Amino acid sequence: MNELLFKRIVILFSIVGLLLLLTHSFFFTPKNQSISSLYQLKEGTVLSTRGVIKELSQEDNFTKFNICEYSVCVPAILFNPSNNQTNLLNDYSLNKKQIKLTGQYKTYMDNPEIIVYKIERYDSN
Amino acid sequence: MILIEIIVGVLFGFLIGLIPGIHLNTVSYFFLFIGAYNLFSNNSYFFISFAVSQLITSYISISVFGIPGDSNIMHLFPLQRLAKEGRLKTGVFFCLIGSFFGGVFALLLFPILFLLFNALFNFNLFIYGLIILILVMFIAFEKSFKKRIAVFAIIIIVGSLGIFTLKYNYFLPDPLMVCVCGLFAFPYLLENIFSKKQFIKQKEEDEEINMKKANISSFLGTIAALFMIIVPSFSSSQASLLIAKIKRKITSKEYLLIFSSVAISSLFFSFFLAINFFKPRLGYIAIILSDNIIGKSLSNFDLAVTLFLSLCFSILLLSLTYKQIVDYVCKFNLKLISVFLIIFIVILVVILFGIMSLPLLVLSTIIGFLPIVFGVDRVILMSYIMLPTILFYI
Repeated sequence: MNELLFKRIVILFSIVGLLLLLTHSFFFTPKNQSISSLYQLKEGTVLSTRGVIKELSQEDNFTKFNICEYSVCVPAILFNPSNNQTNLLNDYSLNKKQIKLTGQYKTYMDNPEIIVYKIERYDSN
Repeated sequence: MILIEIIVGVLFGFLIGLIPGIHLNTVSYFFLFIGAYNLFSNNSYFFISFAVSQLITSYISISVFGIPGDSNIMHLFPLQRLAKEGRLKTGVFFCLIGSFFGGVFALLLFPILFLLFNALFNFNLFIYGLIILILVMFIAFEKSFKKRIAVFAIIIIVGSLGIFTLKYNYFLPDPLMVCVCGLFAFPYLLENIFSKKQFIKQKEEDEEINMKKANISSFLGTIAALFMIIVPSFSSSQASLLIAKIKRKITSKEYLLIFSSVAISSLFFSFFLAINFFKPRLGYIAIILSDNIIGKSLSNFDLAVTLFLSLCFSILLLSLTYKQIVDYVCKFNLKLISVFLIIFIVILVVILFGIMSLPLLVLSTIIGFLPIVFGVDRVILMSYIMLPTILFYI
């Protein structure tokens, strides 16, 4: 194997990697769901939703809260939150502003919950 | 967006990797300081590709300037040997091959790592015995009695420095970069200044490499990294060291293939353990993990694809540029570059760790000269990390 062949192999592998990424992003993007329709989802679905934070409580290495759309609420849990995330959650909880979150829909002892991956500011405009 | 983050990470890692003496941990502190973690909506991809690219590109700065990091200290000696023969480009090419195949094998072995980690984690006796074995090998492999005594004494001195700095943080809270510079880089740079050495013109070779041999060496490196990553406090250098001591009669090129494979595999495995078990094995990953930059938002598939693409892009970028970079740097005056690097590192150390880090830098530089004075292998300076690791388990 010489340098030219090596470069060709690397280029070929890069193309394979790009195709994998493309396929993955095509099939596995989070589904946009409203909170009221979450209960119809299959367990393990990765979703993106928005709502107001209520009942925020912070433990040692996780933060629990309810994400609500009007009167419908779903518990959400964020493991090992960073300071930025904690501040964002506190701010949005106090001001009752809508927040966008991405996470996985799970059931824990038959109760639905969202394991939060990412939280973002939600701007309705 | 993912692809953009990966490409930006690779480019940034490439630039930082070319700067000698910059450790990944230092960069992560710097990122924290300037708030770079808020740059992207999902930072994971950027920071993973940055780490991969920085590690691969750093082979150029190690080979040209002789300043290694803790994950690639082992590359220093074979690369310097090839540099003296004017075959540095071949050395870097072999590092690229080892990194590429090592990285691919590491990705394929993720499921095995998952099983092994569950089975062997906390098996401390194995770890403890392995380090003792390596230290005994250091001494036993010296030919004369006088040199064995010298090696033993140096191990105790360097190890004591490691215990005082790493275990008890006697001088600084984060002494690793200062001591690595003092032990490994400064003696080499000072030697350059006071000797008549000059950069020699590096030859252009169209090196043919046996594909089977390259794959076997890379696979060996990945297997070593697989076992070593389970051991807390064990770095890729120690994994490389073990292979080097067991498989003694191998060429500089085989060393490079194995060491590069160990270094990249350890990095890949560290990310895997961080995401699946929340067990970072590198300071850089610990920092970004504690800030929740990587973690649950990243699936194993995402991680594997990001690592794979970062590996391919970094190697492609470096394989297209390394000859020009080596040629360009070799035109400079070695003494002048060495003086510049010493000033640069001293300033960097003072900025990052304060003026009180200078006595530690001087002390570790003096200790770093001991192997040169006694004419023994400089690899024994690795006792700096090994002795504190043993004490960790007592």
